[in-house]
Amino acid sequence: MSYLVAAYSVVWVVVSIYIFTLIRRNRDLDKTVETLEARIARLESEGLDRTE
Amino acid sequence: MKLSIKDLLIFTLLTVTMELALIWALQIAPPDRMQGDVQRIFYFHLGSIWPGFLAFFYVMYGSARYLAGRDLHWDRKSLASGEIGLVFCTIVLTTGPIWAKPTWGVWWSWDARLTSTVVLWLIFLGYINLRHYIDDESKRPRISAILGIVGACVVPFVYMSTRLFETQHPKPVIMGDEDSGIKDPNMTIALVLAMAAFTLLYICLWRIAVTQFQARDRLDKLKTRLSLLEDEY
Repeated sequence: MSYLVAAYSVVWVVVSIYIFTLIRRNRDLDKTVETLEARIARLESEGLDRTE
Repeated sequence: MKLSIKDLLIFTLLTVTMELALIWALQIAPPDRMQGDVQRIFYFHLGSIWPGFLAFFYVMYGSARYLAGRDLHWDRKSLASGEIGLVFCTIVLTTGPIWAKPTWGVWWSWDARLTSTVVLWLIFLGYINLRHYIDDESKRPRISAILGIVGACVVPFVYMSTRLFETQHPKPVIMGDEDSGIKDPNMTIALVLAMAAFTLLYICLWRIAVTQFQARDRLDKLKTRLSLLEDEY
């Protein structure tokens, strides 16, 4: 019975690790996109100010 | 990342099928006469190798499409599939020895099936990691696609290894010989449900991974735009 529990635990541990990796990757991507968009917006507005 | 109705439907179906698979595999299906409850490992062991093979075949298909049209979307789709195939292959390579110890008395045996599965796992580990070592962006997807196709060619060999060689590994249950296979209908239902659940899990994870790889491409475009703006101002 302990082997059965161990095998089923392994399945869920491996799947969970991959899901958490996906979630973390998604959070990091969102953060980087937000930062970049903010910098682009700031640069664009500064550029507009200079041309005016 | 936004979830579409299609994603929610697949996720709901996955939850229901996985629940049913667990109930059938652990409760309803009878224990094996020879192996007892340890045999129940087999439902999720076989259930995970099926989407693993499917994932590697998709890598082959996607890589061939990339090589034919040089469309990077196919490269990203193949990469996502290879990554998930590797996850399922890892499950197979860890649940197998857990079943082998009480059944064979050893955790591992270097027979044809086990060794070829390790080779398959290593090829796809290489497929995922290769990209980090190629700086040339035009070469990266091309070399990965070639490796992906070569890797997927190993899949039929892994499947046929128990027929081609004398192995300790049990004979195939699907499309196997007359004396192999499962006889109890509840065991068959448990296996079919496990295979369906893991296939749905593969689809779910693949859709998420593809979205992320596409988001990374958008991020690269934003980085290029930012560097252009910084040069300009």
